[in-house]
Amino acid sequence: MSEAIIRMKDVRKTYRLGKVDIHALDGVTLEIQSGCFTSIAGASGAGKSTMLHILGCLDHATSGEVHVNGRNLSEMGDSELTAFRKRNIGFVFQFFNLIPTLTARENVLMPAMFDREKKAEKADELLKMVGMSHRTEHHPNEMSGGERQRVAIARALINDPPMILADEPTGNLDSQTGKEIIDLFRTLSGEGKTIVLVTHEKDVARFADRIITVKDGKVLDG
Amino acid sequence: MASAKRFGAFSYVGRNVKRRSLRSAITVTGISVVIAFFILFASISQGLKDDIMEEIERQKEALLEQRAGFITLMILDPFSSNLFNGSELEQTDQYVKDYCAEHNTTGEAYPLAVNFLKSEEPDSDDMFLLFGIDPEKGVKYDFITFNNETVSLEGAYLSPTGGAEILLGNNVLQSNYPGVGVGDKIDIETVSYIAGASAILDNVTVTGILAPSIIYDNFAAMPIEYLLENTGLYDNATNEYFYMFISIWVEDASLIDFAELKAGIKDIAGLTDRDISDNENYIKRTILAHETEIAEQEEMRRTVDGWLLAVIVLLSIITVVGISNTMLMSVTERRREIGTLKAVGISKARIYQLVLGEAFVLVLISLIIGGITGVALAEYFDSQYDAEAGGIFFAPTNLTPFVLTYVVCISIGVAMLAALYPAWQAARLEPTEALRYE
Ligand SMILES: Nc1ncnc2c1ncn2[C@@H]1O[C@H](COP(=O)(O)OP(=O)(O)O)[C@@H](O)[C@H]1O
Ligand SMILES: [Mg+2]
Repeated sequence: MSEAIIRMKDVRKTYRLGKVDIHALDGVTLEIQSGCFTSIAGASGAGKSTMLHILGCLDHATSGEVHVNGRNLSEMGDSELTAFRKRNIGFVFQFFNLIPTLTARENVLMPAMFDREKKAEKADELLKMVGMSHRTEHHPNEMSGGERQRVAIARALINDPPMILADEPTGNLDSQTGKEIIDLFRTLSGEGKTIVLVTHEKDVARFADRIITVKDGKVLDG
Repeated sequence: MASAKRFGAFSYVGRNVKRRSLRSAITVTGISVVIAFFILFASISQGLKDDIMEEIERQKEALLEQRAGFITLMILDPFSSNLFNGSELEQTDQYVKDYCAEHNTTGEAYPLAVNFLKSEEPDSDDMFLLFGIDPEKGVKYDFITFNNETVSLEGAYLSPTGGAEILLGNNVLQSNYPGVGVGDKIDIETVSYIAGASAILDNVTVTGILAPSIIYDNFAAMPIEYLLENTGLYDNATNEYFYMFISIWVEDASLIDFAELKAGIKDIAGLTDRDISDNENYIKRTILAHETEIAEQEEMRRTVDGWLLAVIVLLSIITVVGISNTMLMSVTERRREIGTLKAVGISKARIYQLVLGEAFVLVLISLIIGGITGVALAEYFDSQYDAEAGGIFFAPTNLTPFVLTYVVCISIGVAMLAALYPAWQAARLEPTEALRYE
């Protein structure tokens, strides 16, 4: 058994809406092993995205402890978290979040645009790996949803992070295309990446090595 | 296609400017107009200030000239029989020299006789001025310096030893001695200042004829001692000459006290009953006139600066509104995109750079377009300006490197300041906020 790359201990996230407290996460304790393909499943509003944001260093927990890749996130400031994200985490979003004015290659290079190191070759390799080498010069509006998500996955890999976090990556795709994207994640998992995939579809979740089910901000099983 | 593969922050900024090309074009047009006017106004104000500075310089020079050599004291008492004698002149000269040296300037006393030449026309009462002057020193009186260095003439100046010699002005020559030339001898009839006594002087050599000039045309000059001797102002018993006028000339009148100098001269010469006139008030008036003019010009320069400042403030406000509005729109419509940038690890400082960079590109394009337009406008205004007619609409312009530099610096500075708020808005975006799908 490899060591845990993500550890959450009694994590709570409370949103205050007027006079009402919404407990998006209500005491979550879990560990995710390095290299594991994990899916977080649950109904809409269960707290999946909130959980992903917290372990993806996009947001602070209200209370509890979060360790990612050996670092205690609550000890890190904003800019430190940003730098940490860049090195450790690749994100894949439901709506792809590609930049419309950039070509596929440029979108892949976007997270590295301030880097001294030139990564154009690497971008092309990644696009080839996700099966998009024929689309390097195309803009997002010239691509299908599945193609866009492939480009987005290549983008998540440009800085070679150990973890890929995906929030409903198939939510906007037909089931066949969704299946292809899940296969891509499987491949990445095989190459040693830790994958955390959020989905409300059981069909999608079952392809993971491990399923964590969330309900009302609590972990049910997994 | 190696170059197409390169992608960095610069390309991203450029892409964002191009993304809303119409909006960018409108913003650039607006700021170009602002910059063109900025250049025009800045160069006009520089042109006006140049003119003002020139005028101030002229006035200051005139002021210096006024201070230098403009002082004349005349000891004038035509009806007195108690005239200055030669030793009193020497004492006065020494006193003036010492007094001026004490006051860090120089000064000197000049003997001067003022007589008249009778007109040769039978029935005419016309008289010409005949000055008796020291042939070596000449005379300095008000703005006139008359000596062998400053006077231009045909023939020769009076010889240093003096004698029966005369310099004739043009009018005097033509009316009184037609046909006479340099080297000829003439007989003249003088009328003395004292009681109108007249004297005939024979065989006076015309050594020179003064070049035509308004000042010297009705003027003749001869050696003072010869003139005094022949008009009864020489005492054979004491060997003294008697003088009516002593002109005192001081290099810088602003350094001395007139009353003190006059009192000193009276004491030295023992001439307490004499009237001594001076032109102190006239000098004070002219100095004051120049000083007033300088003050007015400086006031004008401040006014020009004030207008320029007002124009800069107005144009800056337009730039701020234009840039911040454009950048706010750019940032607001790209919330999701900026959130994505933050999610993938682009830092706050980098977000600032991206937004400021976009504003920088806009202002840079505007500087090129507005710069060319502004320079052309300034040239046109200058070419149309007629200094004589005094332009109502056009003005002199001076487009110095300094003017261009501050236009560029202020434009960029204002644009960056204007982009700061939108950049802050972008940098503080929470990545989770931006990724929310609801
Ligand atoms: N920023 C927020 N402010 C207030 N409530 C929020 C916020 N983000 C999420 N929530 C609430 O927290 C709960 C969990 O949301 P989320 O994590 O997005 O669920 P899921 O991704 O499982 O659909 C929901 O009730 C949602 O309305
Ligand atoms: Mg969600």
